[in-house]
Amino acid sequence: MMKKRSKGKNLLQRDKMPDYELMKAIQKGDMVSFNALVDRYKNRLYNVIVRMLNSSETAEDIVQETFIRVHLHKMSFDFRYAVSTWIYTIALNLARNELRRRKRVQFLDIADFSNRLKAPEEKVDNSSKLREILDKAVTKLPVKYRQAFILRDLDQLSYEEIAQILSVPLGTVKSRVNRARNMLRNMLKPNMEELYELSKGSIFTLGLF
Amino acid sequence: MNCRKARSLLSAYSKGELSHSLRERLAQHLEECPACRKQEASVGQINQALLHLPERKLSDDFNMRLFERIHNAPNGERVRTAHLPRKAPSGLSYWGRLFAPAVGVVGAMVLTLTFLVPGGTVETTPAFAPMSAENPGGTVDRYHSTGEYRPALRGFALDHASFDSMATTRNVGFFEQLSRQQKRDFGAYGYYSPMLRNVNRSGSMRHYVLPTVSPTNKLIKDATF
Repeated sequence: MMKKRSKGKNLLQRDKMPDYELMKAIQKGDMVSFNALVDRYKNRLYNVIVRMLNSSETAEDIVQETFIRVHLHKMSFDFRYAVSTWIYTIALNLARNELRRRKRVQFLDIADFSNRLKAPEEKVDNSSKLREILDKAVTKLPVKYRQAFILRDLDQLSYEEIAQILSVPLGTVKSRVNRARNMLRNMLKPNMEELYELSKGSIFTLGLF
Repeated sequence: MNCRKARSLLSAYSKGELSHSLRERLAQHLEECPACRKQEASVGQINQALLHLPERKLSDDFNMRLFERIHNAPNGERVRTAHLPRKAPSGLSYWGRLFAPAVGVVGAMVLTLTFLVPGGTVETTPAFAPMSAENPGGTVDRYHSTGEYRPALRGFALDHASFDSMATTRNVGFFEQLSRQQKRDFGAYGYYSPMLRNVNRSGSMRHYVLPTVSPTNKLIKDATF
């Protein structure tokens, strides 16, 4: 007969625990599990939020705020949904609030401004140039297309999960993602022509691979 | 398939998200149209670049600062709760809720007048005595004197009869006996009024506040503890 593993032993392997088990432990007040959950999601969230807001400082604040709320409202988590969906929903709501606030208040982020000043010093080759252009182009997409696009193509979430996070129908998500991709391609068209000429038609010399 | 349609589908095509028939038609178009092939190459480049976009990392002390903030936050830190399920609406409208206390006060005055004015004093025994020297424990209702109890509840597995019996037997640990799920049901469905207002953040009870009126609208008597 198999020996039943004790609960304490399971808790030692928090890295391998599925989200919902971590969440259960967190609800019991286990801060180590909370730490594991934070580690699991913080960088993914951060990258999404940075691209949503185009500001690394604010993004870090928002990720902090997200986890504070996760901890504060851990008891109201509904186990019918995925933990990731819940966390993303909170984070994106906060990000959208921030965008709305910026619209009201003319916004000038000093950190970003200094980043922009620093940027030209870096040496650029073709591939990093494309990435850089792309990075900028993504932040120019309209918000509702941008968030769908970021979640799908940068964070590789499924369409279903994105639909839940943004609480819009699945078809809407698909069309928004596609629309965003096409917008992005149109935005990059002039640069692509240039790069295409530089690389003489072969994408392999771009050094992307 | 014309070029415009083809180009709108290119991204989905390169990600393999198209249906079989659309994919076939697009592939056929791409064979015939060099301009669209060029576009396809650029889509491939963009996709590759997207995969290799620089990953940003949070600063190393992120967790530490987060835990500090959580630790230092007052228990009842005020946060917006738009993302949480709404509490069940109370039966009253906005104006109703606004004036409900006033209506109560006026009603009480009218009642006292009708009883007091005609003659003599009317003995009113308060259902729940406040905490005092003679009555050190106070009553169940000492925290919220206007405890209302909403009988309309969804998702509440505890049946009313057993609730009644438990709530009337001076059972301090009554809420301890509720399962976590039941406690959550209270919170999620707005069954909140006086009883669970004092649920800790961690889900345990700080105070035991029993409702003045049970689900079957019987007054709970002698519930002092």
